[in-house]
Amino acid sequence: MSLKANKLSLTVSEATLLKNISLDIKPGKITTVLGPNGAGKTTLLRILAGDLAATAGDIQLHGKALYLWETTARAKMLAILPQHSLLDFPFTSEEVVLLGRIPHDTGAKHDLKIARAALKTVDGDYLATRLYTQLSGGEKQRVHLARVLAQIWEPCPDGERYLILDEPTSSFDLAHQQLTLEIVQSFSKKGVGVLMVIHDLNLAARCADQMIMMLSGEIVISGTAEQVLQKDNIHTVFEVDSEIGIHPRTGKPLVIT
Amino acid sequence: MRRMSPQSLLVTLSLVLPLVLLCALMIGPVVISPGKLLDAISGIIELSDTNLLSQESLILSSIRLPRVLLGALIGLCLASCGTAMQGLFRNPLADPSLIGVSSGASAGASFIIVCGGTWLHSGSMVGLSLVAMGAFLGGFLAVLLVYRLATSATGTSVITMLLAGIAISALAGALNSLFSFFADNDMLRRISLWQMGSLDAANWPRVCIAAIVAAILMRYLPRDSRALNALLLGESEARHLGIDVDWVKRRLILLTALGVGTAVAVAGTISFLGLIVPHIVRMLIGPDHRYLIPGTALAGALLLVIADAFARVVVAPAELPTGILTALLGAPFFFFLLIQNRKHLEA
Repeated sequence: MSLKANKLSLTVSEATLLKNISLDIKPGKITTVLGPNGAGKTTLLRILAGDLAATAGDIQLHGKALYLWETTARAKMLAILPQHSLLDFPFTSEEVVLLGRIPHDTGAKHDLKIARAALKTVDGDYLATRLYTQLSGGEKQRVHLARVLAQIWEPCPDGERYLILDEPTSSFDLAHQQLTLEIVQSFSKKGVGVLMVIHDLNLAARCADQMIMMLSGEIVISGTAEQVLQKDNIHTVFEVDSEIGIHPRTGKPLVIT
Repeated sequence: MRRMSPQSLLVTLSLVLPLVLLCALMIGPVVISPGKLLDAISGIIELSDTNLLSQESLILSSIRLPRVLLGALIGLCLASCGTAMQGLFRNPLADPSLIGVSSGASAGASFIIVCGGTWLHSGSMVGLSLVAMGAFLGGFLAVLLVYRLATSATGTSVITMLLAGIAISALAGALNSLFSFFADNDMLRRISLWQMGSLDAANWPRVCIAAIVAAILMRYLPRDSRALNALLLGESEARHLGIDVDWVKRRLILLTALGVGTAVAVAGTISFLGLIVPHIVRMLIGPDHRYLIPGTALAGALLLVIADAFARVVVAPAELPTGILTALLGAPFFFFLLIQNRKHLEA
């Protein structure tokens, strides 16, 4: 059982945005997607989230085509954190997190408990009663992270849960970048399959069980951090010269540019 | 600003509204004292023969009661539709009169009046329903058009939304003039009533139609309140939360067109109510649609009844059209909102 993409391609008015992408997001594993701007990372995420239809290929969630799932049942298993949010209404942070409980009918009390716990997880309990519209960019992103966590907080009887994150750390300070990684890792330990687009190669190396490097809509290489993070791969994809060391504490590859 | 609890606002409004309705019944060119109001009401209940009724009872049963009720119902429709529209467009500036829905509806209504010809008497239920239907269709086309133009996957463009409103208003205005050109004197008078927006043509058939539509809105709008909350995050996010976005959108567009169209058909364009009321209520209790919809419905009823009572006494014994009063109050409020939202418009 997994979230599986099989030979996805997307062509929009003769421009090929994605070509022959296959990937397998396994429960309890973290997959990171790397690549320069415009490589098709967000497009891939949007197809996996069901926002865009691929022109070829298919996506299977627990062995059943993604679009065949009833929307609420799917929402209980698959949560997506977008890069930006359009929200512009004065909800309190706690109310925003509670929106993540919409697919569930577990009762207001239980939902509130989960929302508070999720907000605490992202170091946002002090934000609970503050208006979302008055938060800083990083705080807003943390509130949304808490919202998607609240959406898949508890195991789902229909199957394992999946979390898709599009550059979750982009607007965070160092401490909150670390925190986000720890949260993602703790969720994956509970059996959640994670797919994450991330620009910081070293952060990606720290947590990834599987890495995918994309360029111009195609997967250039995929595998473990050691296999993917190599001088010539980084040069092909990012056109940057680099040195690869070993992280003194984690033992993972350390990219120095 | 600290929020008040939604429950206490709803309780307060439902206690205040009946009192205001009673007060509004007393106010007018002929002032009816509280004692006489009670006498007159009991007179209406006991005697159905109009010849035996006192002057107060007559004023009450045939003029003031329908007018006050119509005001409350129209206020309810416009304010709750304004709320739904602002949620749907994810923008607090969406208002039926600003984005062209009211003008679309009034063009639809004048079309029916002119085409319907002489057998359409303004008082009859059938005639009114047809006019309301025309207004509904006109309003429906307008919301659909603006929605298609102004919203995309990346959000709602305020500029496109307001520009589309201008274009639709201009088009509807031209159609209105065209219909007026072909209309006879009687039709002209009826068409011009709309452009002003007034409750003085209130009668029981109108109250009936408004009541039916208000009941439909109150039955179905609250069902989508969680979906509206999710939609504020954006369409894709709402979809990720398990909301069937296309179905919700279709339903909301139909309901708002029905509400605004009916309001326009029976009372003309009463502007800005759908803008002001949601704003005030949102400031008080926050944007959760589960409370916002009933809250704005009650507050809208309250506000229009009060505005109409003013309209009746300000230049007594003459009357101001209610639409003028709401526009006088609403336009400055809109300026204020524009200044607040300038950052968005520039972005």
